[in-house]
Amino acid sequence: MQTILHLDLDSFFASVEQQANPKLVGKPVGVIKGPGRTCVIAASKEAKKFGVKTGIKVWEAKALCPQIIFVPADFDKYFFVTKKFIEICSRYSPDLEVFSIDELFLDITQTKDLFGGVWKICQKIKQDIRKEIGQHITCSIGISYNRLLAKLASKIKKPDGIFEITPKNRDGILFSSKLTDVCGLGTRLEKRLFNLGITDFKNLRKIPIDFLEASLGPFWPGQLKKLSYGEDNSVLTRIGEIPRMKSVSRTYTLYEDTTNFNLIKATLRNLCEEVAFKAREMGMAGRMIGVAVRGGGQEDYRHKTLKYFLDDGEEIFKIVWSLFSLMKWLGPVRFLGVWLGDLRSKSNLTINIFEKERRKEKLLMALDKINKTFGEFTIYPAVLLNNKKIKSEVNGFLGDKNFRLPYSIFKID
Amino acid sequence: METEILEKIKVLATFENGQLRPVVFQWRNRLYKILRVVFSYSKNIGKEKIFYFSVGTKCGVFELAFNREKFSWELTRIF
Repeated sequence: MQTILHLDLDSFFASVEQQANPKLVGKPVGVIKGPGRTCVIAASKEAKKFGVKTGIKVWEAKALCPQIIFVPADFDKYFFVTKKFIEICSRYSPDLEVFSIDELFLDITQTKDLFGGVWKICQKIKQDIRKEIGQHITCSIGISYNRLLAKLASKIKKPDGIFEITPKNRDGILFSSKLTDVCGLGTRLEKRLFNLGITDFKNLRKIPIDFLEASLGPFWPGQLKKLSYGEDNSVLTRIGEIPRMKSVSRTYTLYEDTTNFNLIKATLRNLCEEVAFKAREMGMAGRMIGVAVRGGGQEDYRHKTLKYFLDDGEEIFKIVWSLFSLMKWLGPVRFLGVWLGDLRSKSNLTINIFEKERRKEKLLMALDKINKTFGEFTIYPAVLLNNKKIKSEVNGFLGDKNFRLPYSIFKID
Repeated sequence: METEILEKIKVLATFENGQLRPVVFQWRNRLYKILRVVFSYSKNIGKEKIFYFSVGTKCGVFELAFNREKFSWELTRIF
């Protein structure tokens, strides 16, 4: 039987801020994207006691906890800690999956006996984190025989806990858990199950599969039955085995609603630059371009699939701008998103033989070299002049693992 | 709560076991003995690597930054 650990850094962003600034220790802290932002993206355990949760508005957090301290996020800091966390865990097994910026799976089936057993490994990892990252950074560890149950186990004793789900206690844990406690079952499906009178795993097991299929279609009932028994055959995806990215994207929420045409254009151009840069860094190009816009209670999304592949921000922007124009957007804009999909390795694509295109490629290489040497947006499109540059940042889900991990992992000075 | 400073400082540091650790720094003609390094991390700005240290002294907690390419220290902020 496998032994899988799920390690989850507690209140990650807020804990890192408390570690960096000891005056915040023991105080309710809410991390926001930046000054002027209205959403709390992470709360310290002290703030959570007042009901402050991720995603809550700043004004709501203040109402729940008037003494809350807001701190702007520093994703470079958090990602540094993530890399350190990965390095520490990798000492105990090479079978490691980075699930998100603050979660890992570790398969210690083959290595646990080398380190004195499962519980010894868990204690050692916690000690190493405290010693090498900081005493205020803690992690909760779930132990079980598959990924699904290990992830459920890590939620049971938080913060700084260790809990094991065994075949013996599995049903007790599942039956006392909410449906959405299990990874893979979201609120939309939960609602649909609620409408069928199913509110827990005990009930879910009893319902005949054909009854579920009549309401949910052919795919979900089988999956749900497996979830109700905590069954999961998935294997860990190691860092070197992360499937190639199929798309790259970047989204941005403006500080306030805007009808400023130039700002919208500059923001989209900025996002196109990042998307193109990421594709180039991975040696890829894409031919599906999409743009998403939200604001004033409306939203729209368009995409276009080309017959050729692009990795040039300017060319991507031309398509994005034409798609945006087609929306004939009236009213304010608050959120913009750009993505480049159907990514293929450039080594598999036809080489450009025309001089103009080859010069453009060389120009892009030179621009990338300058920006990598002197900092992002050292050189940038003219349309971004006099506008705030939106720099790339790590996101909580590490959706761009393929981009971030192979290039930076284990490079800790 | 925190105050940004961004001033150059003089620092005495040790290099031990592959780690850089500031020990004492001088800011505005005053010496500050570092009692403990509470946190450290690094980030890249282009090819420049900056190492940040949150340090505790008798007078409070400061953040120092060492620029590896420029070989210089800066007091970035006071917490």
